[in-house]
Amino acid sequence: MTNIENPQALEGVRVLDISGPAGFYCTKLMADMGADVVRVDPPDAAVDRYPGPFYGGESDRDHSIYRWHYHTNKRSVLLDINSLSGREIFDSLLGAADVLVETFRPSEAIVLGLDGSSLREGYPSLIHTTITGFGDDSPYSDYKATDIVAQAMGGLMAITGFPEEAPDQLGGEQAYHMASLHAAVGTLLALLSRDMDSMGRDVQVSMQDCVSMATLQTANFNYYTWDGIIRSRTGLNHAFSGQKQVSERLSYSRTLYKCKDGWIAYAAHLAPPNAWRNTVAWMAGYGAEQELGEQRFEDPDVRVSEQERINQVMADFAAQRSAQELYHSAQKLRLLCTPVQSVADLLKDEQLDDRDWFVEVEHPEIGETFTYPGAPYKLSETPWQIRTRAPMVGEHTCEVLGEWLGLSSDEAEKLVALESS
Amino acid sequence: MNDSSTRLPLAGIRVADFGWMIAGPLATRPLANFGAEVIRIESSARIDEIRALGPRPEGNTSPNVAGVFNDCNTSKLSMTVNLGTPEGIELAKEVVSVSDVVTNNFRGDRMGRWGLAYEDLVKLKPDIIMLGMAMMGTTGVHQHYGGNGINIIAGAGISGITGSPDRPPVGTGSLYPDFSGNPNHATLAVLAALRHRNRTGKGQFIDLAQYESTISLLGSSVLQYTTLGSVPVRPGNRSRWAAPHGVYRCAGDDRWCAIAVETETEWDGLRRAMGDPAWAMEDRFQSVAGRKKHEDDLDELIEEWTSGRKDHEVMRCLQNEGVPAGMVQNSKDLVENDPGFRKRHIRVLEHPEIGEMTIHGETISISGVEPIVELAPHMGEHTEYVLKDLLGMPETEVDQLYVDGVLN
Repeated sequence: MTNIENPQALEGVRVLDISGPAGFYCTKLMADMGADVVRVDPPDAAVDRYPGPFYGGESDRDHSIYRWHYHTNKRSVLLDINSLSGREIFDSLLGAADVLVETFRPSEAIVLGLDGSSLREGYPSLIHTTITGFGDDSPYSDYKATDIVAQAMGGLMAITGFPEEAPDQLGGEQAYHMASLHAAVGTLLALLSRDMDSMGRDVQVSMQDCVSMATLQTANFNYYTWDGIIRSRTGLNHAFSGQKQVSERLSYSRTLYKCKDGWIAYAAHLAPPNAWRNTVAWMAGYGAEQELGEQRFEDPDVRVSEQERINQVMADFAAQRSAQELYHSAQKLRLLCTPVQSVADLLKDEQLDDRDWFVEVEHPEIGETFTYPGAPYKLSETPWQIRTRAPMVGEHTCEVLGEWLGLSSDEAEKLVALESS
Repeated sequence: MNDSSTRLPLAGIRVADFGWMIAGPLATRPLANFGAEVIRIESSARIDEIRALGPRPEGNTSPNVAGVFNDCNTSKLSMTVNLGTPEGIELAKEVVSVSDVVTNNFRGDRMGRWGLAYEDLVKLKPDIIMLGMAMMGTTGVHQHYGGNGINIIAGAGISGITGSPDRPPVGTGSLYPDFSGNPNHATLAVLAALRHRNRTGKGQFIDLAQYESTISLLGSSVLQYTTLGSVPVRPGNRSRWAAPHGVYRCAGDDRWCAIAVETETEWDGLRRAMGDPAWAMEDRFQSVAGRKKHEDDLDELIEEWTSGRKDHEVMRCLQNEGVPAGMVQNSKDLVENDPGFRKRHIRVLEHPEIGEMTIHGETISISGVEPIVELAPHMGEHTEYVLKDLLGMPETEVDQLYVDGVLN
C-alpha cells in the first residue's frame, strides 16, 4: 500500500459528480489522485440502475461490483435534483465545487440549467466538464449514445473483428473509458488555467471523437483521402494484411497463434532485420525453424511473398507449446511476444506481483477485504491510492453538507429530512 | 500564437520529448496543442520508425509526410541529435536542464544506458518531471520485456473480453492501447504532476507501465473475479444487462447499425420504430430477463427488420423514438458523410511537401481557449532554434557540431 502521509496531486479539488457511466472513470481518475469527489445519487434506484453482477445475492446499488469498481474514493450524497429542495441543495453544492462533471445530452443540460452559459452566469469560477456522444453542434447532438453506439459511430467497430462476420465491440466499455480519460485531461488543463486567472471554463469531449482517435493508424484518414483505401476487419491477421502498404519494413502477417493452452500475439513479419534473425533463433532453440533459417528469408520482400508459409511454420511451432513458455522464451530474445491473458492469468502474473500492483481494499460494512486493480501510473511523490471503497448510496449526505456548506449537523439533518419528505 | 482570448493553459511549459512510434508522441500531443513547447529529440541516424511508415503519397520517401507521424506530433518542434555520441548526450542533457518535463516510451533500461535516467536528470534540474512509459515499467522481474499495441491488448486482457466466445480471440484492427489508455493516462499523470509542482516546487518520476495502464481499462472484470470468482467470458456484442444489444446487418455491402436497448421505455420505442410487429408483443420479450433468455430469436427478428433498410434510416428512425442507435462508420464515412464529426474533429492542413494532410483535431474543447493544431515538425526543423535561442550556443559551435556528426 502507498503511504497515506504523502500528499496527493489533486488534493483540495472539489468535484461534484452527476455523471452517468460515460463519466464514471473520469471522476474515478480524479478521486484516485486525491480529489474530493462527491457523487450525487438520486433516490430512485429504478432510474439510477447499476449493472450486475452483485455481491452477496443482493441486487441493490450498494452491492453492484460495477459501482464498487468505478466509485472508489468518492463520497455520496442522496439528492433528487428534480425536487425543489433537492435542487436548492445541489445549487449550493455547485457554489462550493471546483468542478462539475456531467454526461447529459445538450438539450437535457439546457432543461436542467446545467449548460455552459447558465453555469457561467451563476458560477463564474466553476469548471464544467461534459461528455457528450456527438458534441453540441451536430445533426446527431441529441442522439442517445451508449458505449457500443459510440464505438460504432467513431469508426472503431468497422476495423474490429472477422471480415466475414459482424463487426465487434471492444469489451469493457472502451468508449466510456476513452471519453472519460480525455475529459479528465481537459479538466486538469482547465484547473491549471484557473490557477492563473481564477476563471471557470466549460470542458467538452465527445465520445465519437475520442473513439476515432483509436483508428488513427489502421484507418488513418490519409489512407482514404490519398489512396481511397477503406480499412475493414482482418481477424487473426495484422490490421494491414492484404492491403497496400508502402513501407518495405512492414509486411502483413498473422498476429495471433494458437498454442497448446491458449494464444500468443506475435507479428513475425513485422520484425526488423535483427528481430527476424532472433525469431528464427527462437524457433531454432526448439528445433522448429524448418526452412526459415535459409538466407533468402532475410530479404523482407521474400518474407512478404512467402508469408503464408511463414505463418504455417509459426503456427506449427506455437501449437506444440504453452503460451507462457513461448512468452518468456521470446522475450529473453527481446522479441515482442505476449500471451492472450484472462483476468485469472493477471492475478497470477509475476511482474504485477513483483510491483505490488493489486491493492487490498477494506469493506467494513461486510467485514471483508477485496483485491482491487491497482494504479494506471506510479507517481513517485504523489502516489495514486485507494483510500476508501465506493460509498453506500447517501452515506455522506450530512458530512458533505457540513464540510462544503458549513452547515451544522442539525441543519444538515433538517435539510435532508425536508428533501426526503 | 498569442491571439487566443486567454493564455493557453500550458504556455511557458517546455517538454523534452524522447517519445517514438505512437504511444509516447500521442501523450505529448495534447500538451503541445494546449501551449507547451514540446521538443521532439530525435535522430536521422536512427529514424523514428513512424516517420518511415504509411500512409504516405506513392513513392515519397520523405521522413516528413507520413500520415500517422503527422497525426501524433501536431504543434511540436523537432531537433536532431545523435545520442550515439557523447556530445549528443551532453546536448540532450542541456535541453533537459531548460525543460519542465521529460518524456519517453522506450523499454525500462534505455534512458539509463544513455545516462538519462531520472536519477541522472534530477541532478541537472531538481524539479524535473519525468515520464517513462516502458511496457512493463522500470521495476520488476519482467521490466525488460517489450511490446507494442498488438501485444499489450492481448497481454492486458482486452482481447480476452472481446469478440464471440465460440471463436478465436480477435486480432489487432486497432493497436488500441497505443492510442487510448496509455497516452491518455500519461498525459493526465503529467498534468497532475505539473499541478503538484506548481503548488510545492517538487518534481517527480512517473512510472507508467503500459501493461498496467491497459489493465486499468478492463472495467469491473478484475473485481468481478476477485470478489465472485467468475472469469468474464467474451460477450460478443451483447451486454449483461441490456437486450437487444448488438450490431445488426442493414441493406448494402458490409453495412451495420448498433442498437442498445437499456430500458423498457427504449424497448417500447424500438417496437414503435419497427411498426409494432406482432412478434414484438409476445410476452417473452416484455422484460430484460425475457429478452436475454430469448436473445438469439430476438436478434434474428430485429435483423429481419434492419436488413431491408439503409443503416442511416435505421439509426434515424430509432433515435427519433429515443432508442440509442448508431451506424458502424468506416473511415470514408467519417471523412465524407458525417458533417458534424468533420466540422468538430477533422482538420485539413497544408503540407509544403505534398499539399493536403488530413488529421484528427483536438478532442478536448475548453471555452475561451483555442488549441493550436499545427503541422508536425520536419525532421530537425528546430535544431538551430534549440541550440542558439534556448541554449545560447554561438553559430561557430553549432557548425562544428554539424561537422562532427552530432546533429544528425
